[in-house]
Amino acid sequence: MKLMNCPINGPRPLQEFFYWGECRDMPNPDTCTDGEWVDYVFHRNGAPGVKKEWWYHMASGVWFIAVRDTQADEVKETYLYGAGPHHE
Amino acid sequence: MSAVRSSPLHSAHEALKPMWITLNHMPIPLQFVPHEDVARQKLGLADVSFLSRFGVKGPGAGDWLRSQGVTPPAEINHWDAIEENGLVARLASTEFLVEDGLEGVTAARLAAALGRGLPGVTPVFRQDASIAITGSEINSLLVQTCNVNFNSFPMNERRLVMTSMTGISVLVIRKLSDGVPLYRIWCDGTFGACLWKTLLQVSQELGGAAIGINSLYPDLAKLKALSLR
Amino acid sequence: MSKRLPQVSGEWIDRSQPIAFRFEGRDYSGFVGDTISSALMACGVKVMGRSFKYHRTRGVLSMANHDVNVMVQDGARLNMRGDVTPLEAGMDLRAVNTFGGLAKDKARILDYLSAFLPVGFYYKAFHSPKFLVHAWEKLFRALTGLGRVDFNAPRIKTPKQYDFTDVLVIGSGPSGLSAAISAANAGAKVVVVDEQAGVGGWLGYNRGGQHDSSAILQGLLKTIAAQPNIDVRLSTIASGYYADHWVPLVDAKRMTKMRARAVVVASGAYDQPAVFRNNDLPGIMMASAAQRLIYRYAVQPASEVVVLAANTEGYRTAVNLHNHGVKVVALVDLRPEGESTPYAGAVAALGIDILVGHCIYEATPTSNNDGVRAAVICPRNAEGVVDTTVQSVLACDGIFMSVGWAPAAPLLYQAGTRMRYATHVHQFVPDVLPAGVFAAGRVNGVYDLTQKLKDGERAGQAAAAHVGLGSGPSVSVAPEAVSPSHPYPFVDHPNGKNFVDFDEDLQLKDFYNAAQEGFDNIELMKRFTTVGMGPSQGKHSNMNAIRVLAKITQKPIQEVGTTTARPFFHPVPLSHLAGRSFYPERLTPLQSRHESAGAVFMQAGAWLRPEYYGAAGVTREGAIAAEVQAVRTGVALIDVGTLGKMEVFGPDAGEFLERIYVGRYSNMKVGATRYAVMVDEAGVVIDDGVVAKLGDNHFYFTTTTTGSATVYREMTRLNTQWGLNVGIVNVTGSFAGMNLAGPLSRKVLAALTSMDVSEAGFPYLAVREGDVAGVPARLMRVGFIGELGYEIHIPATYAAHVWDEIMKAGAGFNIRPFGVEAQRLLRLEKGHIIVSQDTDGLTSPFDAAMSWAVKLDKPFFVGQRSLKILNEKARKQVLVGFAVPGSYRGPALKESHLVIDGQRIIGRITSVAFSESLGHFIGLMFIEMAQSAVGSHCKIRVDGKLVEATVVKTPFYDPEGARQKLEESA
Repeated sequence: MKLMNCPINGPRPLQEFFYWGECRDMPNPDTCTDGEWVDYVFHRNGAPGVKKEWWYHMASGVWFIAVRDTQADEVKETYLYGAGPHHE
Repeated sequence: MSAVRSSPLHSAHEALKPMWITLNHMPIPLQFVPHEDVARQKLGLADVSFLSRFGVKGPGAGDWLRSQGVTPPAEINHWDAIEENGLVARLASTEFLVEDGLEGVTAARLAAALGRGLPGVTPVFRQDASIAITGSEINSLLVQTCNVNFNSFPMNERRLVMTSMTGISVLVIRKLSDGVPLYRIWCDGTFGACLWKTLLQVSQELGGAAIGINSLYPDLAKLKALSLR
Repeated sequence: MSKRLPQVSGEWIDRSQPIAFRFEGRDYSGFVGDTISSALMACGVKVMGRSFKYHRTRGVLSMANHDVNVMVQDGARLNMRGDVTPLEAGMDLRAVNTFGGLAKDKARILDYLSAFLPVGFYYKAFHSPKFLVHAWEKLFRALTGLGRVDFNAPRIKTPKQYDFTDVLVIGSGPSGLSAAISAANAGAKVVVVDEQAGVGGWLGYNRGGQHDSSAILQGLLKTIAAQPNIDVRLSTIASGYYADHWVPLVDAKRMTKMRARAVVVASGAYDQPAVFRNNDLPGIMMASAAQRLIYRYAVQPASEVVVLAANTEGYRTAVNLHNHGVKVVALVDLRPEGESTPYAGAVAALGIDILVGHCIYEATPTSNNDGVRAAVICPRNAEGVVDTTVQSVLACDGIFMSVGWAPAAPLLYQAGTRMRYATHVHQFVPDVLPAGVFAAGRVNGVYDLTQKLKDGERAGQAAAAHVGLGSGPSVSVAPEAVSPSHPYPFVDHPNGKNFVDFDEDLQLKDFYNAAQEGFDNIELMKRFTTVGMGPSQGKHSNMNAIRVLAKITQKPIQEVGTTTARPFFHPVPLSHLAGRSFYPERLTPLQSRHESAGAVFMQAGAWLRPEYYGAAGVTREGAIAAEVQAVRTGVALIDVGTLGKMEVFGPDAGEFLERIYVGRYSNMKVGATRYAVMVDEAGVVIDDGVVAKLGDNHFYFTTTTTGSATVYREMTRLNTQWGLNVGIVNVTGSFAGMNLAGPLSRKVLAALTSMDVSEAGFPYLAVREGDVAGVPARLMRVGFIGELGYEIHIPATYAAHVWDEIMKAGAGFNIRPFGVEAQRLLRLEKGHIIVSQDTDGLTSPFDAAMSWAVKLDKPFFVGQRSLKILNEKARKQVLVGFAVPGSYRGPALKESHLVIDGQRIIGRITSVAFSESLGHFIGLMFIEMAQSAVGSHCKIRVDGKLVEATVVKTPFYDPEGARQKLEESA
């Protein structure tokens, strides 16, 4: 089973984690158009590629970001929100 | 108060008809069978849910503990000893668990001091089920129930592992008790009975058994004195 | 007649332990260490199975589980591969796939009908003509299938376990052992696995008439024994490769989930059959099979043999056979240039005829088709053209083939290795390996023994370096000078029966026919012909199929490509896969109290909850009705401990609640509670609960039972982004909860507390903290079921005590416990929704008639913008209460019964029940806006009939809500 490197708990099998989805920036709900809002709520980026995602280690409650290449099936790095990636 | 508490594992014990003792207002198996030494040395499981605990988290929690005379570990996912055979554990980054030994009173003191919390210092109310596992066959039990490799770090490193065993989220540490490895597991009390039953069944297949608290704390007179408090 | 040879050095059998067994109703005997096939061969049995389609007689082919010619059943043990299954005392074996036994198989007539069963027959039969499809289906169901399931077989759970190592070496042949040693020397912890019962692989059975291979093997084993870091596990199959070097190791006892840090695949190669007419007769086998029989099991595989060779192995085989009393009639070498090593001379020196540039044109069967009696030899030139006018017939009872190999590479494919076709060895070899995966030996295209040992050493060093040990590979490996594999070991024949896939009975012409029909791409060819889709999954047939397709399409093999290999490498018993089946069960601390009270339990997520409390002579409906009655007229107690319970602390606690719920919480007073609805970003209702304000910076609130983990998870994620000054704690398991309900509940409570429980002191919808039965408690008066009641939350370890005390205090009032079903009916009578029962994946608070709960004017909350948009739109449907006349006597209405208007569906029932208190069916339904006004009539379709219903106001029961605010009685 694939390993995911939790920034706090280290590498663990995927079954210890919950995948929330790709990090998406919320548009300003007071000023954006209906179209922009609907796009944010309902549309998802389906194309394979490098994505930033929210992941959760269930046993410890740690939320973190994983940068994952969904085409190569490779997790490039993981970090706590706010800590930022080591490279763009 | 004199109200009686129940271990989350109480019903599971009843079927085995142990001798009971009440510690911290909680009936706990004192002894299941007259000679538990073989089981203790091979693979013994004991219910230690009765020990007093205190939980706290938040950006200010570490400093607050220090202000209360408890020094938490600097490294995340590690634990240290505190007075009276207690321990303080740093869970993930800013959450802490304090557990008293048999005679400690730190947990109650801290709970009283914190009350409803302070900004950045949040009380975490805990009612864990907790299990102690002893014996030479512990590794055989772990490889059937836990995907973490406990042999990947040295025996004397006070590391703490948060993972899942048999589908239940657990906190695990390993101590040395008289030179013999002893594992401690905590889980949410509502999963406790299931975790205990599953681990006990696997242990029994490996030649292990449930053991009473007397096997972990051989001083019976002291236990009896504590049960009167 | 016994075919057992005298003691062979290194044999695997234990002659001091004979075993008695039965096969096809007759008694035989073998030894511990035999497999089923070896024991039968030793007893002179050559026919051991019937082929899948044509039911032709079959015997040993690979002796390596690369084919399923010998597939037998012993009671409940199905589809055992005779070649590799250890013989056990008392086995009572039958060949699978026969009708009336192996010898007189009635289906053998199919062999004569083969012209009518061309390739793609199954596929085409199900297309047209359509009227025959059903008949074909019946026939196929009767004819196909291997083995008979025993429906009384016990359910076995074989526990799995985890394991960890630095380097996992797959295969204990020379390259595998060499890799293990070099990795261990660099400091790695090494596990070596081999599916065979003995070590050494090829080294154990291809002696070539010299003792060098045994000496080398002994040397390697001695080195390994001295190395504490190497653990060799035999009869253990590396069944697949999964991400990050996770390999399931399957043995007879269990599946071990091995996590390695590097993997060396030294799995060897499969000996490949030559393709000529009747190449499937019993007695025709791979040269490696014959040698396994001799050296492992001391079995003479035949008496007079023709060896068909295209490599050095064939020549070594001839020497080995001669040394164990087998007469080698001739060695036929497909290669016009013959053998270049000294083995050519060694064979000639034994007086064995060598016919270079020849092939076997066909094998002649015995009169009753139970073996081979002669081989017809023809010249064959370098272009593969056979001169059928020149034939010599050689009498023999065995033909042993050594014409080439295909790499045992499935695990490499599964790891994502890119393979390339190496023409110097005529096989696919790894081209680009993924990080941490290494290949050595034959699977890597290295066949020379010296080079193999070096290749293993190199791979072991590389694997150790990958895990940070040692300095990496220091040896280089020379490429093979002569190809061990023939590029095209096929001979056409006008009468066919030259088999490529022995599992599926595929002949050479089947491939030409498939290509002719347009299935000339490797993926299409595979699926149309079914090559490689049988139980051996192409181990003996895929490479030959590729070679044929390359010839047909005139494309280079690299371009033809291969199909993908998927786990598992060999079949894995379902019991191994199932393991123990851990199902985490969640129980409230009151579980034992429910059991004692006769609760009948139901699942709510991972929780067990009392559905109702049973009693002798009382039906389920009767019990539930009595519980409802107790709540409405007396006093009762329900365990609500499964509810999610959360605490938020801190200066921003109120702000946080306002952002996650649709309602307003910043203006709550300490001591008050308020209903809370949560929506997602699309404005869809996802959870509800009650918020209680316990202090200025302290709230305690509930969620639904099944939502607690999800809500906590999402709350913490949101605050990770918002960074509000709030601490969020999930105390679901730490607090137990029970609802003491009914007009007499205040009396019962009053006996257990010194708190002021008067209406004035503790009004409806308030929260209070105080002692109940000596235990610190949080009490809330909530409106869910519509009677005077107190939801009591206490620390979990005190729950049983408090429950007992309440039941004691209430005994004089006939208190009884009540369960989930009663509660559902009670709340329905009040028109209260249950999220995800009365709401679905599209329901907004507006649809659920909860507009009153939504405060759109807050600065921000999750889903606010969506609700603002929805608020402007016309509603499509809305949740309303409905009632059916009390006179209705038809079948019971159920959830999801549809509301019908003419030809249109205009709504559906979400909750419904017969209310004893009111005397008729009540429920909640979605209905389109136009028909939703109170008083509207509608029709509900119940079991095909339309039932009249009316939209009514909710609550159905006690609409003024007087009962939940009951004052003390005088």
